[in-house]
Amino acid sequence: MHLRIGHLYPEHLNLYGDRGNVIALAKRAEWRSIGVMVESIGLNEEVDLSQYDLLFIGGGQDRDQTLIAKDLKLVKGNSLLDAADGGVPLLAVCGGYQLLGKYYRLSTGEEVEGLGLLDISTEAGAKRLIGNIVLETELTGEKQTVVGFENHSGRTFLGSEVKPLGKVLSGSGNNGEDGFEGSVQGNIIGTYIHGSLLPKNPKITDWLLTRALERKFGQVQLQELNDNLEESAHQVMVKRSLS
Amino acid sequence: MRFIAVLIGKALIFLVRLTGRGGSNWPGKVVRKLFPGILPYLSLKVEKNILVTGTNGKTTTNKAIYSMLTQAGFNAMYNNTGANLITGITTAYVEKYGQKNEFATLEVDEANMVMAVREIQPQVVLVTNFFRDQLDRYGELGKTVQLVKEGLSLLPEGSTIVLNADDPLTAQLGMQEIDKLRVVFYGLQSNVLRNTAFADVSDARHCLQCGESYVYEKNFYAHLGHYHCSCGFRRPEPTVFVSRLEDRGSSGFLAEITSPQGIFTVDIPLPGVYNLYNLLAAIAVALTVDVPLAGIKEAVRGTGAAFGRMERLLLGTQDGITKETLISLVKNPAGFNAVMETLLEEIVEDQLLIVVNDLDADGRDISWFWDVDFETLAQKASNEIVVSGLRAQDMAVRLKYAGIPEERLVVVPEIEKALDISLEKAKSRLYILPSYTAMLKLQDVLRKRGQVQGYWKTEKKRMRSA
Repeated sequence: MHLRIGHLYPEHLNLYGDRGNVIALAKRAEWRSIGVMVESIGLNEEVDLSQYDLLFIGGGQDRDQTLIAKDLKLVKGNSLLDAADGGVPLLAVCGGYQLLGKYYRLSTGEEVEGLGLLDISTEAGAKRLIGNIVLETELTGEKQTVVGFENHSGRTFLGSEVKPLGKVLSGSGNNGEDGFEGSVQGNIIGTYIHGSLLPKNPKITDWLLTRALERKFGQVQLQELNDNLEESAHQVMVKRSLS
Repeated sequence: MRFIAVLIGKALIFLVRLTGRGGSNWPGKVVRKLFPGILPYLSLKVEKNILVTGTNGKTTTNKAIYSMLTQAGFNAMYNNTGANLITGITTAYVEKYGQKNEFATLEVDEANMVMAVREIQPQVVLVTNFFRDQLDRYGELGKTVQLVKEGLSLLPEGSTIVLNADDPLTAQLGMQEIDKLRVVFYGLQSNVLRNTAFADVSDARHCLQCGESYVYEKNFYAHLGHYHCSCGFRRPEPTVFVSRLEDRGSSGFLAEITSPQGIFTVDIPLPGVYNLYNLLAAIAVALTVDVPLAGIKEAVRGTGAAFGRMERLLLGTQDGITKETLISLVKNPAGFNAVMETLLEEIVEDQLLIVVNDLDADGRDISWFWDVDFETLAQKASNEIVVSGLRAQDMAVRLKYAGIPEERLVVVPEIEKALDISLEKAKSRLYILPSYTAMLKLQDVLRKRGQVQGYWKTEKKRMRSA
């Protein structure tokens, strides 16, 4: 078995250690003897994204994000829409999450059009929402916590076609108002959570890997791994945030 | 009123010292409340004020400038507790009031630059570099650069800004229209060092002017080097630069400096390319304010590490067996990579202890662990690694995913216990890489134990905790 992982714009969207997500996906596949190839996909590169088995896009600084918005629209837009239609699992964090939505309204009132892959829209907020965050999610079918760190000024609001990734137990989440964080639509997960997200939340990593393998090879059962270390790092933050 | 405010401030500082408690910020805070114009008043009493800002190397560089000044016979003051917020800086001036100083040299937190420049109106500002650091405090790197830029725009006419030519983010500060200021660039000549072996997830690999990736003819470390962009932006030619270099490993460097004041050689007793930059920056500032070469050379030779910056100590285990211990602060990916690059060959030979907290002063977001090139360490290391601190488990996860087998990771969150376990495990040398508050905690433990038996290599007095 073999997976091809595409890391979108790693040169530009690399602000908060989000590459840990790609490292986690690759390692947890390798530990199960699933071959992995990680490819960087940069600005202005025209590629067929539906040829990938898993895609990741992170967050960046404002300046870089404007560059990426343009590239997504003019260069990779159709290809990414095709990939999503074909069910390629995609994880988008922070800036990447916002870019997949319908639009981002700047503080000046100007609207930057997004890709519209996720039924969400984002508005600039006055105060940055910064801190540790804990969610409760049912992504994998059973209730579990998600831990990480959020740092965003955008306020994201969900439309009717997406479900939130989870309920906020501690922290701010999508917009600091409705008590939810992230979005799930088909095989796409969008979230504000850094940390990186995946290493300390191996269940989400495995959910993404499972979606990717199923799409390629049909029904699969992932081999269990020893997650004691990940679990203890996870629990430290659950305890600290909820006590 | 001013005089009373200073007296109250001095009394508060005395009380703080008396109780042995840390905290050099709040006397300044109280005095500023009582008399908001106190800092402009006090700094005016000093003939020349120098500010040192940037992400990495402020403390070491500022201390080096201070020793160059005093070595040359000037009366000078500096904020020696590393308290670099406007309140701590105020405390420093209050404390030194009455001393008739010719120079004050102060490290300033980037976010406090606007206030510091406005109130102190310095003659010289040094900007060392910009790296990703404590994003949860400043939002993002671009914002930090912006804050410093704003500070520089408030400088009085005729001031000098001293900038690192090899860091594009810093260099660009001196390349716009600033005709009322003098700009001095410093850097390393291309052939003095090889390219870095450490992968950089960079902060600044893209041109601020046009967004294209820089082309590096030479990459010394992180995003520092000789770079240019297709839009025409390129590294400015420095006037103070290292023109020849002998790398003496963990003993430091012998560097030939070329400057308008002449070509001279300095003996730098600190290892690491970043320390080379720190000393070079200090030399560029000293030359700017006409410190004689003899004073500069003497001061460089006597440079000691600031506490926890490549500091070497002799520590005993509980059975009284002495182990050489090296402590080096790590606070962001570029700094972490640089320390590992300098020490890699040594670290993999003996015991490594990494201690990471996530308190405010460390930065609460630990996502940056994932931007450190631990993969290079994992390829070489074969020993156990001890991890400690509030985020010990997170560091263990990071190292596991870098390729270090779980059975070689020893997780001991409690810092004092981790220190003892690591000392036991060390064959003859222990390398401790702590985050900021973890470093203070270690310092505390060592002081309480009175366990410091002596120093090797560098001689210096340990600083009080900030």
